[in-house]
Amino acid sequence: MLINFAYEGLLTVECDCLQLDGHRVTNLVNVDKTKRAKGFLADRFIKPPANITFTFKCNVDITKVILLPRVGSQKSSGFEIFKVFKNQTIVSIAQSVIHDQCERVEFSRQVAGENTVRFCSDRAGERVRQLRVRIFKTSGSTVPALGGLEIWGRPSSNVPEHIKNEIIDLWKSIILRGPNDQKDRSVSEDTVASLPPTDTRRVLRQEVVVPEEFVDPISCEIMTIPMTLPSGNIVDLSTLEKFYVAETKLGRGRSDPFTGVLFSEQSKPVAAVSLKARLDKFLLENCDDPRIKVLPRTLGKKLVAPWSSYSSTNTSANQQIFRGESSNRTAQSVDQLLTDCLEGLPSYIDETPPSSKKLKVGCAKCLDPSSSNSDTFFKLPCQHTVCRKCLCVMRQNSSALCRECDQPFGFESIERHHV
Amino acid sequence: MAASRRIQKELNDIRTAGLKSFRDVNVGENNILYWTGLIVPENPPFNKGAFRIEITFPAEYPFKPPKIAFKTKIYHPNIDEKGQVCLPIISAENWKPATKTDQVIQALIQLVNDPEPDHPLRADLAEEYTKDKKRFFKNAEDYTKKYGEKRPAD
Repeated sequence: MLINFAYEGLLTVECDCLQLDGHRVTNLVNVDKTKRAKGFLADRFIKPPANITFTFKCNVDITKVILLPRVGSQKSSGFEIFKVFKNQTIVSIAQSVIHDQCERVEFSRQVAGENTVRFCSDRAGERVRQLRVRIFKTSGSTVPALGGLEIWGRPSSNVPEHIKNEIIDLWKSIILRGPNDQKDRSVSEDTVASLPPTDTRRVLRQEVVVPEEFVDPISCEIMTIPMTLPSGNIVDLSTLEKFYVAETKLGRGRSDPFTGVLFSEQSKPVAAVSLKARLDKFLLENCDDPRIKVLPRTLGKKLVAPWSSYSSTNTSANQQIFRGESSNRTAQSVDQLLTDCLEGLPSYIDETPPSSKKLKVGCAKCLDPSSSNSDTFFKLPCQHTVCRKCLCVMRQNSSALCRECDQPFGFESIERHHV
Repeated sequence: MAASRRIQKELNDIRTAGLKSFRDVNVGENNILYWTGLIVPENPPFNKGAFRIEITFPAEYPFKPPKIAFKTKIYHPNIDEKGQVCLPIISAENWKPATKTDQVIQALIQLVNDPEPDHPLRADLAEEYTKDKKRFFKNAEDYTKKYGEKRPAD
């Protein structure tokens, strides 16, 4: 009779690394099925290899070892099993590295097949007192995990009869208890299934249908940053950028990949904001789906960069000037607000020293410090100051020369001078 | 690979569409970038046989056009002896990433059914086609019967 030895009482188990609470290695051999289902997880910072050693009550001839590599999203991908001798020397019985989809590893004495690895020799699994399972590789960056384990075999021929009988009795009591557990479990599963939220969620997880509008028509991948083209089609920014690269190689400018019409200042791709919002919502809701989990995400910062990189140098210069102006405007309005607030309040500051200071600052153009009492001054790169009124006139005439030293300056390099 | 998902989708679309004039689509083993298929023209003189073609997608697909070549010999002004075909829709200058493979195949079938003697690859056949259509038809039919593949029953 073949016995699954992976139950407490038939063996003891220990692990050489720290284990996550609730996922101790004893779960693997627990008689309680709910605990058993939790499996073993190494602590968060543990890296492979992790060794789990099983010590049997007697010598065992092992015919089959079945491992379930997954606990939640944690998954081990490389296993090796060893026979441990009394003097602690170890001999490998078999090893296996599994691929991503594989959810069950089987080591067997006789048969080999898909996901089944044969023992290195027929007798390798015989008279084992201690069996060691080594997790030497994990999938991605997960911690060593083991979702379940079965060790099938029978007591070796040299085991005294009474111990053999004891073990067989123990095993029988475990299987007898088994159906009860099975019953309990099926009941609990029924109740779970009758709960609608869990149910619908499960269905959703199984078949997430990606709406057509989220799929890039050119690359057929789910989009990250959807852009609306002048032709009305929506494609992902990454696709557009690849297209630009291909077009540049052919010596052509940026154009609509659907119509071939060149982009201009007036007709160019713009971010499809509402679609992006719907897309993000969809991704968030279905982030459990393994297909969606691997998709790239965007964060605020990255979103801005691509559009600004699109505009030509000319417009970026314009933008800079525009930005400068707007900041001045706010500065002015704050000044205005401040003066309005302080008006009517008694002043404790002596008024004369600031006016004498103002003479030093003065406007290099109109040389009239008094007229610019409430005006704002701007510092040119040559360190001379000019009042706002004169600067506006200069701007209109587009004569960017300092009045005092005749040095040319750029409007973007002007700084506000605080008196 | 970036191209594979798009190609996979196009393959599914073409297979589900079940075109009468383009059948038997096969994909190279371990290489989705290589397709073969059977063109079954409807117009005489090529309606006496079928023609095997191969479609090769570049790794940069869909930003570069696929290449089409005839494996079966055909007596056609726009298809040369090596099986190269001059199809404007897949020329580098006209190619658009949004062009679907089924559009390309439709264009190819159109070209096979109605040769364009104005842009020939084989000037002699184009001349024959414009000047002596009867002879061209007879030659093309003989050629199709001789070299063409068997047409599928239905």
